[in-house]
Amino acid sequence: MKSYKDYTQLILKINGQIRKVIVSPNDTLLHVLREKLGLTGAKPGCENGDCGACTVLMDGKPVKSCIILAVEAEGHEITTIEGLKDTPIQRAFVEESAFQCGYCTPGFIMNCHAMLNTIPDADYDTIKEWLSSNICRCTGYEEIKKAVKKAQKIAGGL
Amino acid sequence: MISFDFEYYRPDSIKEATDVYAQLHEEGKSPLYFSGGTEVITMARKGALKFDALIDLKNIEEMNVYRKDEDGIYFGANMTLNEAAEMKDFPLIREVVRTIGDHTIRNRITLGGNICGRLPYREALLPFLLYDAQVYIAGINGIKALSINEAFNKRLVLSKGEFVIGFKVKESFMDTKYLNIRKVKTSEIDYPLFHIASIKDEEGIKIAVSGLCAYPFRSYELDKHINCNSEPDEIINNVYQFIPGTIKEDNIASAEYRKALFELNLEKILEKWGEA
Amino acid sequence: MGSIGISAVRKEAKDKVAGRLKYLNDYNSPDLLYGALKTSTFAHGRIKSIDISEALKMPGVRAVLTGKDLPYRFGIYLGDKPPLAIEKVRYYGEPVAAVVADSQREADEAVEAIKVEYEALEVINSPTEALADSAVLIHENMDEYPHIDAIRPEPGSNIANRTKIRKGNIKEGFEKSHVIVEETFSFPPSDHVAMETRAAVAEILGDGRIVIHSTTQAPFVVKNLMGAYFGVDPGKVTVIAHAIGGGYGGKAGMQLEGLVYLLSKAVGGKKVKLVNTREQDMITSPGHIGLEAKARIGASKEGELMAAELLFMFDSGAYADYAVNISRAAAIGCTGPYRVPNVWCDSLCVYTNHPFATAYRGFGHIELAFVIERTMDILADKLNMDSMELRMKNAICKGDTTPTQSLLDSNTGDLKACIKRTAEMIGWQEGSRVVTEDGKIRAKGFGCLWKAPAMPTNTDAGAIITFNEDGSINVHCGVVEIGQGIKTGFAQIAAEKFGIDVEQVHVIMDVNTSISPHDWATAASRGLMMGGRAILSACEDAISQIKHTASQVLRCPEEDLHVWGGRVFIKEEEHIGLLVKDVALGYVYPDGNAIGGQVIGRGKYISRRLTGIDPDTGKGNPALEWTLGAQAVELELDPTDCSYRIIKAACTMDVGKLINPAMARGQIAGGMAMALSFARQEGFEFNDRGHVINRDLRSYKTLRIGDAPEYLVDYVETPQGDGPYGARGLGEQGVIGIPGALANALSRALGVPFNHLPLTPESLWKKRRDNR
Repeated sequence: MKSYKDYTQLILKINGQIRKVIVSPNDTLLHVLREKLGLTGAKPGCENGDCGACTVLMDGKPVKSCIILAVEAEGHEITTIEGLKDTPIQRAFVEESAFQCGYCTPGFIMNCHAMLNTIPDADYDTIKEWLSSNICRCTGYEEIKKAVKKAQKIAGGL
Repeated sequence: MISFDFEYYRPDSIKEATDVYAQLHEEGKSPLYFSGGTEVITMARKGALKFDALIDLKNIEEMNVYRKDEDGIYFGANMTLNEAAEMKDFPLIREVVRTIGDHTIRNRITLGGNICGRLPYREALLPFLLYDAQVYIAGINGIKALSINEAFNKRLVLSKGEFVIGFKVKESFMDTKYLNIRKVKTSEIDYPLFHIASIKDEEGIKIAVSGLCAYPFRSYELDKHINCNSEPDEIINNVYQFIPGTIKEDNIASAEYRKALFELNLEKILEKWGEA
Repeated sequence: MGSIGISAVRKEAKDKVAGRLKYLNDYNSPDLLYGALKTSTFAHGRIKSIDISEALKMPGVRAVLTGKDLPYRFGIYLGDKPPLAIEKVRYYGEPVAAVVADSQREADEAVEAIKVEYEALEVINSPTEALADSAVLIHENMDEYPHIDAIRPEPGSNIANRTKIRKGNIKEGFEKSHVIVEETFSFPPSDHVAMETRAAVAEILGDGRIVIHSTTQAPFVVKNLMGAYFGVDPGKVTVIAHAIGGGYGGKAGMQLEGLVYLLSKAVGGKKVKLVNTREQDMITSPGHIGLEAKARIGASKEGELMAAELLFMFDSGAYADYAVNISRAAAIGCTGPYRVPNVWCDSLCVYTNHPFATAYRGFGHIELAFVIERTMDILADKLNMDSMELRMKNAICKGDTTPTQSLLDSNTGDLKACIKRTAEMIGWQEGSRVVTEDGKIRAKGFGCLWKAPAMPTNTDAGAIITFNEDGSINVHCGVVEIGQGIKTGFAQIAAEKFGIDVEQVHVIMDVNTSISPHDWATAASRGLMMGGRAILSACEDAISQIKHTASQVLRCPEEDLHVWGGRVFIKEEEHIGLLVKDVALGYVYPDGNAIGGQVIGRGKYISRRLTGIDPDTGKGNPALEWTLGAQAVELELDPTDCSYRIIKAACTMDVGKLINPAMARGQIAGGMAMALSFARQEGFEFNDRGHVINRDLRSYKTLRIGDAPEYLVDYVETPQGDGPYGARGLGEQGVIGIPGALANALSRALGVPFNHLPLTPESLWKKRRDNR
């Protein structure tokens, strides 16, 4: 049985790399990523699981890192926005102007990326179901929908 | 940020979990079982929940499986709502759990966590109540299986140190017809005004409701009332004597609106079953 | 090649999609100390005691402050707000104590250990309550507060400002009216919900210089106010604004900067960071203003507007902040974009025990437009006229006068063309109310918009242009990138002027008040127009310097030269010329002699011929430019439970000249989304003790992707003569007409007037029931 009682070394696998970090059991994954590992792409927006700005992938699935303890991430593959390089969805976000202030963007991109990996031909209902997890206050969402469609085309080689 | 310290344990077996619970309890600490954690972490951050230790149940293999046994289909309590939604054997379960929280959160919220949590909705419970599922409860004295409708009284009644490890539903319910209505204030990503799940089998119409009162419910008296041969109007007019609590009034809806919509939708359900 | 009218990709786009653009809270360093706030659990209460003894003993704690330690009064127009409450608290969530500690956790833990005792005071929960004769005073000593001349507080009452508009003869106007309608309207205070919460970092250097990093839309305002509040030399204050995760007005003025400076001061000038939690950002920091209003409008038989009598009672919350200017802006534009010869308006900024209000997208205009646009529909119904036709008939245009009796000149946009286009897009002629086969109701509603910047008469902008060795340009301007894409817009303006690719223009993302040229604030939708003018002027200055150096080399008059496409050449003999890159850092002759030196383009712009307004009549010329537009909403409603889905939102705006179509569309559609969210489902809910019930994003619901309608956006381009390439502001305007349009569509759908926001299904259901 694993246990953590105070500040302890934790080994995390993040973006394919092994990262050692000292954590307290009450540290959230978001806090550890940002404050201890310098991975500030995931953003605190509410720290309440409501806005999705802190979305990262855990074993390929989108999760809100503000409501996960860092110790829970042990043994799982974590992917943050820093782990994505020129993916179709990132290119599509640029081409479709799918952001303004950009603060929600890493969370949206992580969620979109996971969705397109899981369901490459996601239809509108799927897009709506997945992306309702994230709040964007700038765009009105139109360009984000377009970006998903565009990424599907890019990934399909069109 | 959670502004208090606690210990974290991740047992690998049921016994380890109950043992560490007992031990912590003996040491005078307040331990808390922990599954998806979404509710615990948000409440802890707001100072609405305090504990000295978390016992994370996610490594307990028996709680993570979905399997077909001879006497039914077993849902491990650690299955996330999205995992439960992917299991297509019971379309009602799939439909109900897909309305809880949002898709990303559903990768963390577990069946057990939703059903045993502190929030008053516990919507994942509705199909299990309707299916008269068996609930498996682990405690220091081992595992017991109970009918969920017996174990449930406003909430799943658990003794100190007990936790739910899974649910079992008879395969015969797989093809049972169902209706599911969930009403929200405005945003779909919200707690419900109410959530009515309903099935119809050889015994008649059964309904289970969340959000209407301070706790979810299913009652045999209510089912009986609904299945009486009265006109829908009459059924609805007299329904409140079979509803076990007062209609909730909160910032999601006033009691009167909630009531009006409940009646409207109950009528819809009765109509649809009448047609079917 | 042209750089204007193309959808150039944002300069910061790649950093944003890679998660590499740093917002303030992304900067960390081991020398940081952390602040945390203890906030009030009473909406109105006397502070009986604050016990900080336990907190002081806690590990890592470096300082604990209460209001008594900080005898200051903040307020951009009216100095009414202590940084930490002194003697009494005036709203739920008001900061009463602050901790500085080595880590955020230690600071948070120490805050928990602070004990505050209050004695409850009578809570004022609305402007109406605040204006009652028997109302308690929220600010007993208002007469002691300093304020600017344009603001007129009324000590002995809860009125922080009153603005009067008296145009024509209101009595005669109503006498001549054939039809008169009268209605009341309201909406509660709400929030911006910028995804990035507010944050600030301050440190005081050894020589007394103060360095503040902030999520601010107004770094120069912060610098100026630091001087005013604390008597420090403005030259010793540096305010740095990084890219911002959404502002919408909420990050203008002074936010956390003053307090975080005081926290730094309390720990010997060490660097202190203060970051709002979401809950604090919603209620402790200021939000969107609330309103109660009465409108009485008269028209001739033919539907010509004759008179408008308007009373606006803005819910400022506990402090004045920007609210006193919002109420003033609402008076200045009180009639909406319609020709009204006789106008009477009193616009009051009223203190209540609600969280206080600051600038919010639309600044007075989204608020007034809700009142006016609803009243227009009510009037149309009474006149038995099509509501779009009524708007068309009264649309303001060149030659008309505004409520402040200011003449609209040839720069005035074409509202009629906007109305016509929006009516086409939304399919107005096909019917504004249809019952579908499944019993749903499809309904449409119209709402027009206008907005002028509400800003000082001497509002200015500046720009500096420098060059790189390859001839590419660096543009430096004090407007903050808040998501509106202004840096890219500026690059396009400079690229167009030099005839080079936008890629050849580099922008400096951060604004630093010690380096950047002065800029009033990133507010009022004036960045593109004023900053754009400054950029053009800097380009012209640089071009004349390039020509000057080149004229010596090419041995020709400067005025015969032209700069374009990376070259400076003789107009009639294009082959005779030099590369800009060989001139811009000084020209070097083959023998090594150098001349000219580097080119530094300096540009500036200051608003033209603006005045204040007369305190008794409102007469004056306070508006730099008016942006006009027409909007419409189509929805589908289920009459059984009054739930509804917004299907389409349309907007045609006269933008003068479109600089970047993708970004303009983004601003307008995004504005419509924000306003739909506001009108449909936002607003603080208070209990009778003045506590905000919905103070997190779990209970305060903003629009999500599944709620988003189809957006129809089009433009009219009547050039703004004094705007860069004819452009005018468009950043805020998309919000303005939408609440009215939505309420109009719903009122039409159910045949019941809906005059109070938010328009939740339950509120519709109740109103319909009460109306039966």
